[in-house]
Amino acid sequence: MLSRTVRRSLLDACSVLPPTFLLPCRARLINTVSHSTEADQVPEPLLNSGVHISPSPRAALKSSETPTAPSSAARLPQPNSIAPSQATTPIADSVKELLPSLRAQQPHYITAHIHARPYVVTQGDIIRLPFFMHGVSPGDVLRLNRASTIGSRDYTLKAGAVDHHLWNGKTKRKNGYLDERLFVCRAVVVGTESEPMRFKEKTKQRQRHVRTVRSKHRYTILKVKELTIRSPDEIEAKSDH
Amino acid sequence: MIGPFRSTSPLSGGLLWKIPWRLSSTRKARHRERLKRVDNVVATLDSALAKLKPELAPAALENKKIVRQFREGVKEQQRQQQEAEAQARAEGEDGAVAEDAAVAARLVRQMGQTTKLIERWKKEMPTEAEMLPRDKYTIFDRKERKYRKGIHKLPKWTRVSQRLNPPGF
Amino acid sequence: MPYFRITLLRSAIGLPRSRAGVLQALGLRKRMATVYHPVSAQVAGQIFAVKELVDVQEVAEKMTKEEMKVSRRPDPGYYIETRVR
Repeated sequence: MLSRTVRRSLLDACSVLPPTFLLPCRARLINTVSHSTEADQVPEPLLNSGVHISPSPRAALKSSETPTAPSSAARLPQPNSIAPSQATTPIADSVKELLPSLRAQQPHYITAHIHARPYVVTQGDIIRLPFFMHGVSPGDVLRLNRASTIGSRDYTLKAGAVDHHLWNGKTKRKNGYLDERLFVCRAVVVGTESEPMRFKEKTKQRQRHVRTVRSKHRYTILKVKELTIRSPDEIEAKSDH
Repeated sequence: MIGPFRSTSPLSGGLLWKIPWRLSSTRKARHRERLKRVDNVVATLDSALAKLKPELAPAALENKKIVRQFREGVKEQQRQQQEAEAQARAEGEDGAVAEDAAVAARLVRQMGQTTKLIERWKKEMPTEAEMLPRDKYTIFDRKERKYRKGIHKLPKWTRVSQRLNPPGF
Repeated sequence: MPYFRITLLRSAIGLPRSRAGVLQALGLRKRMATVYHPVSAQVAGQIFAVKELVDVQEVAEKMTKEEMKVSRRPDPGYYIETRVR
């Protein structure tokens, strides 16, 4: 009985608490983040008051839902690591229409894929890759051009699914990549990190010899310097030439 | 008796194979997958050969006998088609459409290549979708009480095509 | 010129010798090995003999082992924009 009342009182306390975005730990974010959904006017972040609580509708700019969308998620030509690929397919109208809303709401995050592995990052993030990237040196600027998602607090632009042809002739629906003209994501090679030396003793049966293998892996560190979403005009201008 | 040398049924009775008497649903599903894969292979072979024109075939195939057979086959088809048309006119509209489609399919096949093996397989063997569950998962065995045993009792059953059973059993 | 892309999925261990012979004639030595043969009635007959063991696709072009490997490799997802010298 007592426990039930205690629980109820706790529940009441929970319901009395303000929504999570007003809690002190989140308040810092709110002060700097604009929640404006208007496309054309982007207010200065500093002018925004901290109690701006009009929640903008959760809208998803899912390009996969529109029939004309596959262009943004179309199978892009395979680029090599030196020259970028040039996608020539037109951007879907729905994407063009809703992209400004996403663009207006900062900050953005991106799910960038490096060697098909996803990294959810935002501007200023440091990525420690799980491998040593060959052919780059600290200070090199990498352009990340494969992303499956770009989003902000309220909007998400997701790549549509594409048919992935398997070795046995079957096809599997798999998430594709967004059109690389929609965004600019640059990362700088900051340096490399190395793990402490590991020793492993290898033995074989019926043999007294013990072999010790040493391994010390290096990992490349990247820093996301720039993450911007292009406006439809910029995209048009880029695709013209 | 407890211990490593206790009398168990395999020890006391000689050979005892622990094969379950029926297949589990997942084994049946995998079996269906295998059947479909074989159907798929045969369909691929058939369609690839049908597309292949005799004049594009490798030199080994272009002997005179085959060319003659091909020409005769085309003539035969044309004659059959004429007959079929005459028959269809007598029967009515519905029959005509079906007959024409069949003749056209045969003509298309005649244009390309095929092998006797594949034709025979297509004529005799049911596809996975056409098979009855009874034939998919069991086979005829004269020593069994109801003349049927699980297909998994057949040696190398995952790598052989066993789809037909004696009629009536 | 169309080709059959043949991949050996199941081994012929324990099957009649002739099956293993057909596989050897097709050039399939181990599981998951892939070979290309031009579409012809002879090759179709060979494939038919081992149809339970292989996967077949009709393709327009033949690929070398290196090309198949490249086609499986995922997109790197980056390119070097500026280099520091």
